[in-house]
Amino acid sequence: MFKVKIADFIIEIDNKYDFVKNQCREYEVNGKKSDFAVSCTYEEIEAERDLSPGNNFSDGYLESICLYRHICLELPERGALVFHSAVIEVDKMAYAFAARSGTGKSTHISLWRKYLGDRVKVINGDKPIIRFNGSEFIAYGTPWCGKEGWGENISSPLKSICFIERSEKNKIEKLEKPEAASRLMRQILMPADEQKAVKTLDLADKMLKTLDTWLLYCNISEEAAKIAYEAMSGKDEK
Amino acid sequence: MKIKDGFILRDVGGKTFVVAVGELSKTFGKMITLNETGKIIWQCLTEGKNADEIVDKILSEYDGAARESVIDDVEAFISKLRQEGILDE
Repeated sequence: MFKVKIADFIIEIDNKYDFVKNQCREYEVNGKKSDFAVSCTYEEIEAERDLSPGNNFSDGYLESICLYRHICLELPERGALVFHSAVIEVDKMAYAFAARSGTGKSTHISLWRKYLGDRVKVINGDKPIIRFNGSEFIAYGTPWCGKEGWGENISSPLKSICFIERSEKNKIEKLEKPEAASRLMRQILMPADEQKAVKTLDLADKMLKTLDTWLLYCNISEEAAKIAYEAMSGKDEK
Repeated sequence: MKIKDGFILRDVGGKTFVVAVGELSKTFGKMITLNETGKIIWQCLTEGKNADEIVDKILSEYDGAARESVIDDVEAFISKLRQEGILDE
C-alpha cells in the first residue's frame, strides 16, 4: 500500500504488484490522510486480461489499468474526470487534443514541440485528469500517460479543447457546443452508477460552457501546429 | 408503455443525451441523442403518458404544427424506441 497525490487528491493505492508503485514513483507522498482509496481484486485483473486478448500483458500492468479505472470512477463526485486526450502546456495555459485513436494526437503534439520548442510541455499524452476548482478547469498530469509515456507531474488551467481530424489541408474552426458535446462524450468514461453518471454529464456540460472548443483539420506539417496555436492561444506570432 | 428504468436524460453543451446506468448499462451500451421533439416525447414516456397525450403536449409547445405530422413523428419515435428495446410495454 502507498499513497499518491494526483490532481491534488491524496489517493491510497492498495496494490498487489510492484508495477503500479514504480509507475507512480513521482507522485508518491507520505502522510496518514487520504481522500479515497482504491484496490482491485484478482477477479478484476482477470476480467481486465479478457478485455485485451492476445496481448500477454503482465498481471502488474493489468492491475494498474484496473486501478486507474477505479480512480476515474471516484473523480466525478469530486468535481473531476479523466478526459481521454493529450494535454499540453504552453505559456502556463493548457490545451487538450482529442481524436479517434489512430488519428495522430501524438504526431500533432510533436509538431507543436517542433514549432514552439521548449515552451511546450506535455502534461499528459493520453489520460489527463481535468478538475474544476470552482471557477476554472485545471489539467493535471497523472502516472497513466499512454504508450509513449509522455507526461509530467504538473498542472495548468485548461483553456480549450481541440478535436482533430486528418486532412490534406490545414484548417481550424470554432466548434459549436452541441457538436463538441457528441465528440467529448466519446472521450470520457461513463460510470454505471447513476449518481456518478449524472455528475460526469454535468461536469462535461460545465466543461463545454467554460472552455473554447475547436475543430482542427490537419496534416503532419509544422503549419498545422502554427495555425492551431495561433487560433487557440489567440495570439498571432507574426 | 413506459421508458425502462435505468436511463438518465441530461443536456450537455446544449444537446440532449440519454445514457443507460446500473444493470442496464451492461446490456445497453449505446449513447442516445435526442432532438427537441424527441426530448419531449422521452420525458412524456417517462411520466407514463400515452401517444395521444404526447401529441397534445407537442402541439401545445409548437404553435402551428399540423396534428397529422406530429402523430406520424410520435409514432415513428415510439416504434424506434420499441425496436431498440427501450420500452416496457
